[in-house]
This record gives sequence, structure tokens and C-alpha cells, in this order.
Amino acid sequence: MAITRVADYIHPEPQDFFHKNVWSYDHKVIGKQYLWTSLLFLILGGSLAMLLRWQIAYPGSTVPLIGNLLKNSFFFGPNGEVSPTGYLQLGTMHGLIMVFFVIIPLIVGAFGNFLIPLHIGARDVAFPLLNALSYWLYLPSGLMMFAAFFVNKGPAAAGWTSYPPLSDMAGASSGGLGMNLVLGALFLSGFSSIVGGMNFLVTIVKLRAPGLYWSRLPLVTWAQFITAVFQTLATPMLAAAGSMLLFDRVFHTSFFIPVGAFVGSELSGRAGGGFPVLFQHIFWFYAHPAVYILILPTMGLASDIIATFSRKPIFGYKAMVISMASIMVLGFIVWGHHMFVSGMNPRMGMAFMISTVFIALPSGVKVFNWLGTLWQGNIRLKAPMLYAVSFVAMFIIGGLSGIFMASTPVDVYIHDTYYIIAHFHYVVFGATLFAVFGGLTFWFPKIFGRMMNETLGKIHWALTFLFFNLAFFPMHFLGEAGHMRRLATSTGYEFLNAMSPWNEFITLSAFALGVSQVIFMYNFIYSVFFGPKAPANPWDGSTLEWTIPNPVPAHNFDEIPTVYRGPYEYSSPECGPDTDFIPMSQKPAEGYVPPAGH
Amino acid sequence: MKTMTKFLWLAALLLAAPLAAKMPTAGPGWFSSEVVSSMGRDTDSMYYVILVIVTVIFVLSEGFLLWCLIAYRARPGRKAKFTHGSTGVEIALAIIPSLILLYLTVASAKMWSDIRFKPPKDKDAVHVQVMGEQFAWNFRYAGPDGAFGTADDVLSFNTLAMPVGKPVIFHLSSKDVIHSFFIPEARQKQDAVPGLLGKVWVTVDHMPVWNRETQKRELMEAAEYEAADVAVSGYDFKNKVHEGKGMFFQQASSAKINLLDYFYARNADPITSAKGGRLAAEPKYIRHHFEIACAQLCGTSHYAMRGEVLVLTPAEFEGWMKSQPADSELKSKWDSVWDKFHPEYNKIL
Repeated sequence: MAITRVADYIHPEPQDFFHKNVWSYDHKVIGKQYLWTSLLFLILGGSLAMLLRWQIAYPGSTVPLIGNLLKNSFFFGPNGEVSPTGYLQLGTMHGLIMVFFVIIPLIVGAFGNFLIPLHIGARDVAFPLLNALSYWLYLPSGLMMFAAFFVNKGPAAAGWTSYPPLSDMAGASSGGLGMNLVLGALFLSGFSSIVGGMNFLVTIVKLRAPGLYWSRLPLVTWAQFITAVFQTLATPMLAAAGSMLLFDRVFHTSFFIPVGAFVGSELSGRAGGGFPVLFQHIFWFYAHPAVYILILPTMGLASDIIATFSRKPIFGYKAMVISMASIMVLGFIVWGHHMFVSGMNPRMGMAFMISTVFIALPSGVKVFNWLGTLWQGNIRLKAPMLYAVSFVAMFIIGGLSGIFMASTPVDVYIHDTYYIIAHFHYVVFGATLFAVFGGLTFWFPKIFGRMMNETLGKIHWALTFLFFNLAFFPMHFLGEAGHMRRLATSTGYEFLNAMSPWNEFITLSAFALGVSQVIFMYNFIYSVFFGPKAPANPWDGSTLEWTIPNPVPAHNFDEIPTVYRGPYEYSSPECGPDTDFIPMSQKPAEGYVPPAGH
Repeated sequence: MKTMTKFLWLAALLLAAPLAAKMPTAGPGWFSSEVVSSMGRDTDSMYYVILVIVTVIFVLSEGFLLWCLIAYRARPGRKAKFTHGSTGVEIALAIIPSLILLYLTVASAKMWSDIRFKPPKDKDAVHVQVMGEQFAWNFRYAGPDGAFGTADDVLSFNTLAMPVGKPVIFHLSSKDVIHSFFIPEARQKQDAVPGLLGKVWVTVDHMPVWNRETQKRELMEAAEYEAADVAVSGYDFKNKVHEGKGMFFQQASSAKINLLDYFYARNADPITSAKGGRLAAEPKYIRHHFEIACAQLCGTSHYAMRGEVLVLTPAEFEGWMKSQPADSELKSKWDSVWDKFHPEYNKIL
């Protein structure tokens, strides 16, 4: 009996609608399922942010349009204003939805699924059934999260970090069943993440096309590989923290409750003996690597786009890979920098400061190498490139503001202030979402077989760039003034009075930022159905996905390609006089000798 | 399509224009507040050192990026330089930031050691126990017997008195959830965690600038708002919680008053304004010099967990300690929470 190599196996193309679009094993379909679901959550998470901003700028005022319709329900008070509890619920759910149900599924689930097999010359991922399972765990977990909005007392209100005892004792915060649902949803989505991560690891290790050595792997795939290591090793810690918290809440154990804890004026009734700071250690052991899960894949996306539109190989490819690997290793030993004022032994603060300061180094190397790639390029400023260079520009700001936090004495002052919000959003909105916009416009032709409108793309880029900076840069000023985050209103604090005009300005900028996204939504949805048909290789790219036709066949490659060169050999002498790119899988001409250093 | 494009750009500008009008202009109160301790000044110096370094890196890197986009934009006939990088340049660009980061680490480590490892050894240091609760701060000073948890302890609710020039050592914990004890003017912050006794210290080295004139001016401005009483009718001042969802927000907003102005008015005697007529009231004493904030999300009324700091001369401080009335309600709180479950917290002197 003949044995078929896994890589050569072609699973039969499903014919009916259900197996083609719903319960599909095809990595491309699963990628699209992740894409649409996470984009819907992006709209939800963004809308919650708009309500948050309204309350901060105009505390107690009726929310326009919906406030009067939703009095005394959801997040609203009797006058249609955002209530103090509603404010905390909005902030908590905004954070949780954006991190776990938008960014991670978008950049790992959608881009990882769609691109990894195409980039490594494979017909699918190693375990297609597990891949489907990963999405079908993510979707119900998202629905569970969504259900929390509708239960008695509303969703969680203890912040996305859910620190106990606040998140632990129902009487301490408003979260009742909603908090339990959120914890259950995180557990399920974490499981989905681990399943997906293991699948990607095996796929990249085992299914690379002949000739696709590690040194020739596109940076998108390298980034996904390193992210998958993070996901597989760190996510179980989230499950551990969440399970213990859930046990505390449901079965009244005391993992995180100390002796003699009160709720209001009454004793909590718990046995005690637990320790609240333990949760922070376990949570951040996951959540700091999670921050890199939120950025590493987009570093890969941006690298691909920047090399393609600069028409140059990536400057310092090896350094780029080593940097990402260093970020992974260091990423596991910096969690304590979130806890400098938590009551943790200050000696540990010293150790975490040192590791944190030095994680800036590989990030810096990456920035230098992106700039080096632009240097002496032949830069085509198309919409995807504008988004990608904005990723770099915003990552520089987000990275530099992180240095303030690494310095423990300075962090003591700016910890839990708007400085942190500014820093975090420069990284996960400024950098990550710009790279996502870039990635979507860049790979749109391959995903949907059509082109997005270039002019609308540029207008959207310009407005997003402008309003994003107007909304988030002033938050550094607020942080410097000591403005705490998570305040339903700052009007009770005298020392924050002078910052009120900034709060209003930030809110108006955030609204403009939100409205600007309508342009992208229109461009995206219109182009899916009515955009002009895309050629197989509209950007003159050299990686493997651009060698296959649109729409991409269910089995991707008729023949598994053989790879002869690295992913970004743009403008190489090998390209010849008429073009400046050469596909990875194009057989070299007889007698061609690759240039030194390759 | 061209008309459409122009229209879209125009619409984009129209969206941006009103924002320009709303851009705040620089004024007092921007950026960090007055700093009152030498440790705080050190923190500020470190902040500005980092600010200078990152500003230089920011300008160089963003400038280079912009320059590349312009200088190397695609033009007919141009071809990009084919290179995979330069090991020399990469090593140089890794070593320079490493040295900068090394400097920042050493400088920060020294300062961290000062602010967290070396508590003041001054025998005159004032020790204060701080107990956070939803949503207020409780303070306890050892009385004349020099021990905590005894009958002569001095208790205070939401007001912290600090003698100028003397180190004040805070021993922090919490009754219920995690709070974060934050004095912006001292650049000091530490979580108050249930089940854990934290320790930080502050020495206020001069009397703050805040003065009676500032208070008086603000008070007279506040008095112009006749709706002041209405605006805060739903507000329980002692516990700083509002009654009824949203009532406080709505009323404060509709009356257009600053809640703090009302705080002054409550502690004041009638006076006559310069223009004549009974307009406002003058505070009997300086109500407070700066504020204590809670920086950790601690529940629904987290935004209202505000305390006050009174900076006094050592003599005034002694007077203040003696003048604090015995408060059985406060004492029973300390007895039933701190002393009953954590008697070891009292063995700190």
C-alpha cells in the first residue's frame, strides 16, 4: 500500500455550503471565520471605548443618541448617563474584548491561519480538525463573553486584569454571574489559543516545502512560530489563574483571600489564608507574554510589507529573527514590572527592572532594521506601505514611552495613570492595528481575490494617523500630571482639574478616530463583493502565496513548490533588467551563483 | 472618482477643524504637580533624564524614517540597493542603546534602593498605619505611649497630617480589596493589600505653595453658583458615596460647579467680599494642602476615594495630634479589622 506524505495529501474539496463555509477544515476558510468574527468584536470593543470617553469628558451627561433609549439598563443611569458601575464595566469589557477577542484572534487566528500554510508551501496546517476546533472554541467563548452583557448585574467590572479580592468576592464589586461568564469565556478562548498554537508549531516544523530552510522562512511565519511558543507555554497560566479565581467565586475557596477580609462592614466569611498578590504573579506571567502575542505577529506582517514596498531585502534578517527570539525568552522574565508597587519584595523589583530595560534592546534592533530596509530602497507609497511605516513610527513612540516604566522610581509615579494607557495603546492600536490595516489591504487580493480601493485606503490612513495621535498622545500629559486611570470622573480631584480640557479634547479626537473607521469598513465590505478582480501578484511580491492564482485553490498548491532563495530577494541581480523581484520558488538560471552573504 | 476624492478629503478636513479649536492651551496645573520631597525631586530628575534621551532617539529615528520615505520614494528608472544588511552597522546600533540602557539601569537601581530599601533611621520619624477601605482612607498614629493598638492611639478619617521636615513612615494594608496609596506631590505610591503590610516613607521638606489666598479666590468664584446646595444634595460627604445612580454626576454637571468648591464652603464662616455684600465665606483654617488618591481600581466609587494631606509645622502637628477627638466608631473599625486579625501589624516600632 502506497503511503502518502502528509504534505502531499490533498483533502477532497467540500461541495456543500455547510462544509465549505461553516464546518470547514480549510485553513483559509477558518482564517476568514476568525477575521469576520474578530472584526465584529472590534466594532463592539471600539463602541465601548466611545462610551467610556464620553463619560470621562462629560461626566454625568446623557449619552447622545442612545442614552435616553437605554435609561437604567446596561451601563446607563436614570438620566441616560453612564453610571459609575457602568463605566467600570465598559472599561473592563473594552479591555478584555480587545485583547482576547479582537487582537489575538485577528493577528494569530486570521493572519496566522491564512498565511502560514501559503508561506511555507503547504496544503493545509498539520491538524486541520484541531484547527477547526480552535475556531469553534473561540466562537462560543466570544458568545459567552457577549452574554455577560445581558445577565443580572451586568458584566465584569474589576478591570481587564481582574485583580482579587475585588474580582473574587461578589459583594466587593458589581460583577455577579457576569464575572463568572467572563472567566469561563477566557478559559475557553485560552484553550482555543493553546490548540491553535500547537498546531502552528507542528505545521511550521514539519510541513515546510523542500528548500524552505529556517533561514529562508518569511518573517511573518517566524513571528507566528515564536508567538505560538508563547501561546503554548504561557496560556496555561491564564487558565490556572482563572480557574482558581472561579473556584474562589463559586466554591468559596480562598486562593486569593487573606485572613480577615471584609466586604463592606461585614466579614467575608471566607476561611482566608490566600494571598491576593499571588494572582498578579500568575496573571502577569501569562499576560506579559500576551502583550508580545499582541505585537510579534504584526512585526512579521509589517516586515513583509516594508520589504515588498521598499523593493529591498529585509535589512539584517538574522538579527530580526534573533531579536524576536530574544523577546520571547526575555518576555517570560519581565512580568514583575507590572507589579513594582504591588507589595512584591522590592528586591524582585530590581531584578525585573534589569530584565525589562534590556528587553528594549531587541525591540530597538528591529526598529533599526526596518529603517535600514527603507534606506536606499525604491519605496512605493501604496496604502499598505503607509500603514506599515505608521506601524514603525507608532511602535517607536510606544517603545520609548515604555522606558519610563522600566525605570522603577519613575514607574512608581506613573503606574496606573494615563501614561500606561498611552503607552499600551501606542503599541496595540498605533502599532498593532496599523499593521493589521496594512496586512488586510496587502493580503486582501489573496484572501478575497479582489482589490481594495487605494484612495479610500489613503484617506483612511491619513485620518486614522492624525486622530489616533491626537487622541492618545495627550494621555502622556495626563499621566505626567498623575491622572489615575479607571476613574469614572476626575472632577473630585483638585489636582486633576487643570486636565479637564485635555480629557474633552481626547474624547473629541477619539470620536473622530471612531468615525474615520467607517471609511475602512465601507472600503473593506464593498471590495469583498464589488472590488475589481485582483491579479495573482498585484504587489510584485516574491513569497510563495503570490505564485498561486486567485481564488486560491482549496489545496493551495497543485504541486508542492521547491524553494531556492530567501523571501525578500527584491532588486537582486538575479531578477534581471526588467523586473525587481524573483519568486522564492523560481528555479535559478543555469550557472547562476548567489551573491556573497546570502 | 476625482470629484469623489476631493469631496472625501474636504470632509476629512471638516472633521479635523473643530478639534483645532478645542486644543487646550498651556496653563498652570499642566504636567506634574508641585513636588514636596527630595525623593520626589529625584524621581522628577530621572523622568527628565529619560525624557531627554528618548526625545533625541525619537527625533533621530522618526526623522530618518520620514527622510527615507521622501528621498527614496519610487521614481521611474530608480532601483533599490540590493543589500542584506551590514553587520558592523547593526552591532554599532545595538551597542549604543545598550550603553544608554545600562546607564538608566544603574541610575534607576540606585534610586530604587533609596526609596524602597533604606527607610529613614531618624528617631523622630512619625509612623502612621494606613488602612484602605471601600472608599476611604483610615490613619492611625501611635499616641504618647509610642505603641500601636493601645487606647491613646490618634485616629483620623481621610485626613493625613504630616509634620514638615520629619520623615513619615507609612505602614499600609487594606480592610477589603486592593487600594493604592498615592500622594502625587511626593511622587510616592504603594498598593495597600489585604493580608500584607507594606512600607513606604515620605519626608515633606517645605511648606507647600498652596495658600489661603488661592482658597479664598476659588471660594468666591464658587459662591456665584447659587445651585451649589442643590448640586450636592445627593452626596454623602462623610462616606463619599453618592445616593442614587448618576444623581451626583447629573446634578454637578447641570449646576456647572466644581465639587471641591463646595468642600471649602462647608468649612467656612461668612465674610464680606471686596465689592460688598455677603458673597462667600472664608475658611477658618487651611483645609488641606494636597490630596491622596487611590490609584488602584477598588470598586464602584473608586473615583471618590480621595483623602487630604495637611502639612504642618512640628509644633502645629503636636497640636493637631492632641486636638483629635476620640471617635468610638473609628476605634471599633481598627479593633475589629486590624487588631483582631493582624495583631502582628502593630509590632512595628
